[in-house]
Amino acid sequence: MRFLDAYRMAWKLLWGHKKMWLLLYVCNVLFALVAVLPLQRFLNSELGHSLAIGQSLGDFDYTFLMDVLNEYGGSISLILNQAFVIVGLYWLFSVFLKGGILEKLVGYLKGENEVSFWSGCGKYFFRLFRLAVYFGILQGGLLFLMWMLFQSISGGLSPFELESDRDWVNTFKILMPIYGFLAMVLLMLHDYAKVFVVKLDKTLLFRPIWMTFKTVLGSFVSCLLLYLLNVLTFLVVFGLYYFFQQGMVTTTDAFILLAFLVGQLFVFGRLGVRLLNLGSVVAWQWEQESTKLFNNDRVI
Amino acid sequence: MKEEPFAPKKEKSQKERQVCIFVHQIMRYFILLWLMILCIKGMAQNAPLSPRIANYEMDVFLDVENKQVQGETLLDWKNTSTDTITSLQFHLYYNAFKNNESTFLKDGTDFPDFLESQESACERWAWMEVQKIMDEQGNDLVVNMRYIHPDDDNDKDETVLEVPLTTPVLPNQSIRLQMDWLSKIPNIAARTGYNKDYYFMAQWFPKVGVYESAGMRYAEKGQWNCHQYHSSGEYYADFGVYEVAINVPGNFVVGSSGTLINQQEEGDRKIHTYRVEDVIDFTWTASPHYVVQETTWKHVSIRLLTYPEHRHFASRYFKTIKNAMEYLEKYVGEYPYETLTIVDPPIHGLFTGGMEYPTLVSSLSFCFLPVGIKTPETLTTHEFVHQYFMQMLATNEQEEPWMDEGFTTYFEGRILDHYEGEKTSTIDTWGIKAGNVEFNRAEFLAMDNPKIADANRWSWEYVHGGYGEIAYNKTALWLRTLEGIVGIETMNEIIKTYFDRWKFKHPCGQDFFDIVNEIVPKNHGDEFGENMDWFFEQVFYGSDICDYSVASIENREVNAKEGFMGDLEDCVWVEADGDDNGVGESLFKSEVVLYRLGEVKLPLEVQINFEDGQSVLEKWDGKARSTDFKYVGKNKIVSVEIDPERKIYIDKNFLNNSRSVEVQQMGIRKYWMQVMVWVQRLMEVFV
Repeated sequence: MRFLDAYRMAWKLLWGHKKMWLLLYVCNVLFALVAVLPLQRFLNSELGHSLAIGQSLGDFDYTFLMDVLNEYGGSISLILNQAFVIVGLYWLFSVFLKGGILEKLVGYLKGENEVSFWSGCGKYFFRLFRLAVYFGILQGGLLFLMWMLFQSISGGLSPFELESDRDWVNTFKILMPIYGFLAMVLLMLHDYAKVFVVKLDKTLLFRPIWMTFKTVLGSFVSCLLLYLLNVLTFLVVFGLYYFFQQGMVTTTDAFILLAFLVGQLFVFGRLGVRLLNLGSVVAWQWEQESTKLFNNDRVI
Repeated sequence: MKEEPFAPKKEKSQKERQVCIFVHQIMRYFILLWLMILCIKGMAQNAPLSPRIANYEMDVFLDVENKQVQGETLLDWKNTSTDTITSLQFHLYYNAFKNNESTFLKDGTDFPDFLESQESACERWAWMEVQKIMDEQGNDLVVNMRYIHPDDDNDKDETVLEVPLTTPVLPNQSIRLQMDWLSKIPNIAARTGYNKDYYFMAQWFPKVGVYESAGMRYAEKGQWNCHQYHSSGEYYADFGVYEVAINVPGNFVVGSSGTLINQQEEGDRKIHTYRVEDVIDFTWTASPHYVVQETTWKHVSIRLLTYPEHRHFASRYFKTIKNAMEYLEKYVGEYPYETLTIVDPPIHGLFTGGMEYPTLVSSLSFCFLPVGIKTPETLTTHEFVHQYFMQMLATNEQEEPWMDEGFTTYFEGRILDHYEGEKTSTIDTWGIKAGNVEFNRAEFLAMDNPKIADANRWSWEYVHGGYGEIAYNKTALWLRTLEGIVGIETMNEIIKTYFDRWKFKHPCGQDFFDIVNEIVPKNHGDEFGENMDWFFEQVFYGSDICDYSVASIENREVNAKEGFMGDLEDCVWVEADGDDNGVGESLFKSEVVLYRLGEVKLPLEVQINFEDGQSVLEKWDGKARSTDFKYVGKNKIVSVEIDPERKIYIDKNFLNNSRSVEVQQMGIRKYWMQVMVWVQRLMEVFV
């Protein structure tokens, strides 16, 4: 039950790196603020004095939304584009942070307390960036493959060629779990590869990727169970968020603030689950190496 | 005492005899009266609902191998005009798909797929050929028949056939023609055709046009109204009786306009005979895969034809159609037919979905469609409303598309919002909600150029777009606005009068305007002027936009008295309700300025809200480019709302219809905080 030990250790790692967790959250908030501040200013200046914005609070207001898009579509599109640029920048920044996170986690298990977070960020940025691109291509390839499979099995996308729309549904029902599983395996491999990049400290990524495939495929069930445990943790966090968010009718200031706070708690929890996931991979590898060393000692 | 059987009867007295004769006479009169009542009742029951001008008896054979229909038509056409008719005109709609030189495909930007995908596939093109036309005297009329092009100079278009008659039809006389024809069925094109073994036969037989005598609609002299088939716009035909024997393979299930009166097997084929009276068209469908589900509503037998994968939509369809029937019976009039068939086409028959034909409508669904996406409800309601606005009120759909589509969209909104909720009648899934009326408003206002055309044009004259948005959505919007201005009771009276006066006839737009101009002054006096033409001039004949806004609110603190009040030595300065020392409460001079940003001028209500919670409802005729309302009092104005009840639904922008002095912080906070959490959630995916 090595994966359970790794999962337990990941919680300890997470608890031991509360500052890092907080840092991630603060960065997330700051980037998000930069992304939405233009929207806040826009709402204030263009719609702030209209009663329509207050009247639209109760529920989804289609007329309000369509009037905003009709009247201010250009501005909204500009704000959204800008937000997407910031999200893109955040992605780069998160790749940058990941080097430091992994350096810290790996160092912690090795008992090296002098590891610098920021130097790890800088040191591994380009390697992790390249790795992200490679795995992005793999994910894209998988999606494309599944799309082609969907077309060939269902009988194509043209409705006029199709015997029944049930063909689309049935094909989707078959392919979706397969795609979900394969995409999850790729995500899992990506996580292990990140740890190998830091552990092996090689400029070229061939060896870390090779080691990833060798290790994960060698203990596939254990790795998969660990990953599923992390997915389950995410589902618990999401379930709680969904439960609390459901009953909230945001028609008063108190509820608006409460909804925002619940949202923040979810984001904070979600970032924790992300760290937990990386920590569990690091811990799993550390567990595996410890076992190997222990076995080697016994042989000697 | 027992009377002897053969004892001679006593002679009746003179008086008794007179009484007897009187009773007999009374009885005779009573029986006569009773018989007369029965006769009148029977006649009323059997009296045709419509003038029954074009009556068809048809035998059709569906050739599934060659994708053809062979037909024999016995047409009985009545000349109800005072003119002598020397020729008849027929629509041959299938010739629109004969080649890419037809007017339909030449002026149609709506069907590029048909052109692009069909070029190399000859079996997909279609045609209709009239092989024989014979009158009662045995004259062969095929010899002199010719294709005509009343709308353009496209001599390659063969969608209108003129048949000169050897024996003219005199006023109030009829002509009976025997026609043999053959049609090649198009691979699902606009609203009709086949795909795989699914057949949807609409506009599939030679159909006689409408002869409009002088004074009918806009006709200044007697003339045929038989337009070519255009890619935009629909149909126009006379009422009649159809009896159609449809010969199909034995395993095919048939759905059709009218009532099934006979079914007869003939080898491996089956003949289904349908009859329907007082309708303007006849449509049928056949497929071996149809699943039939049935229900009834009052006297109407409702039949649903779906493919097996869509059978679970039955409850949604039946509920929707019953709601529509109930609503329309209450607010428009009775549905007089015995049947209604709903066809839910398979996915490969997509283009035949969402159409209306007499007593038969087609809808659309997908087996993966969630309950909250109300496409089947919307389409079924819309197409059923057409049974009134198109079928019973048989307007010219080509020349005045707003009269069927606009009225139908208006009632579609009323019905769906009534039964499914104003905010949820079109979409209600995953937290996204949209009502039907608001959805239709958005469709019109979201178009690139809502001023692209007025509504007073023929369907194919929307050359650069706007047919759907203006004929459907804008019309529904201005009808709703009219409802807002004159009130729902008056609007209901207008619609009922319009239906009662014009059902089973061919009304034109002016006929409706005349009814509005009759009912509104009757109910409201001169509140809206002599008539409502000013309204139609703007929303129907014009293409301008309606947009009112609150420009500003100003509250200025003033004193009750200030300056030299009589005595030039003594400068006075007294606050409101001030005591002798000039101390008192504040007094405010408040002013609201409203703008008319659009060109359309409509009467409005303006609600002005004061800080003590009091409100004032002002009226503005909406004519000036700007106006103001001024108040002096102890309370400041906190907010202003133009048209608080949203009666002027055609207003382009509701956002500027209101203004508050204070910024609506709560609303702003809600939106930016919500978006921020979404952005954060998106970003955490990358960590």
